[in-house]
Amino acid sequence: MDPKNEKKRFYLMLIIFSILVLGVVVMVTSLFIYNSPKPFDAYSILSILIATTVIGFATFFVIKRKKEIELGIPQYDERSKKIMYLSAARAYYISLYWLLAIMWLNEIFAKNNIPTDAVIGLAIAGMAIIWVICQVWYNKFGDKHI
Amino acid sequence: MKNHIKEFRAKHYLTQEELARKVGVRRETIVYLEQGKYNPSLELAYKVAKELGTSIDELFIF
Repeated sequence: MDPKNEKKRFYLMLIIFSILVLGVVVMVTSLFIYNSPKPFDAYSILSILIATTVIGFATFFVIKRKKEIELGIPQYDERSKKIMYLSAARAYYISLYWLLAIMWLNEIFAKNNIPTDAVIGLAIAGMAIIWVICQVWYNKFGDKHI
Repeated sequence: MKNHIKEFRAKHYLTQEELARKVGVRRETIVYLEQGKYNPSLELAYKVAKELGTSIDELFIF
């Protein structure tokens, strides 16, 4: 098989996989909404908002990637790969401090009866946001290592 | 790294997207290359120079 067609096929499979994962997330979110106590409490509303935002962004990127594959635009090139690796490494480093901060704030969370799963969710959300910020930063401003 | 990519691209009536497609990168890479915000690999520098009908020495300002 022609290497270009092979690559195209691989990325299309990746898109199909992403759509399946998205489908599962939508299903789980729907179940969550259906089973949540009504009227919704603050925790449910926040969870639904976060899930909706993630689904929205994921859908946007899946559609964008699919269009790019059809146009023959490469998904990753040398610059985007370097930015991905650099931002992942920097985000990991910054996330360590974020997790330490969450640990130090644990007493405050416990005093305010914030459930453990909410704290873990906050930690994960923080790490995701840190990664997004790093990605956007290096994409926009670059780095002497790129 | 400063360069003359924009000038050479204009001489050949190529858009950023066309040049990107010819050398196998995304359009954003060409944008940042032209702005001097990205230092290309030797392979990419060679491909761009070849596509623009010039040499790496003439294209990039060292």
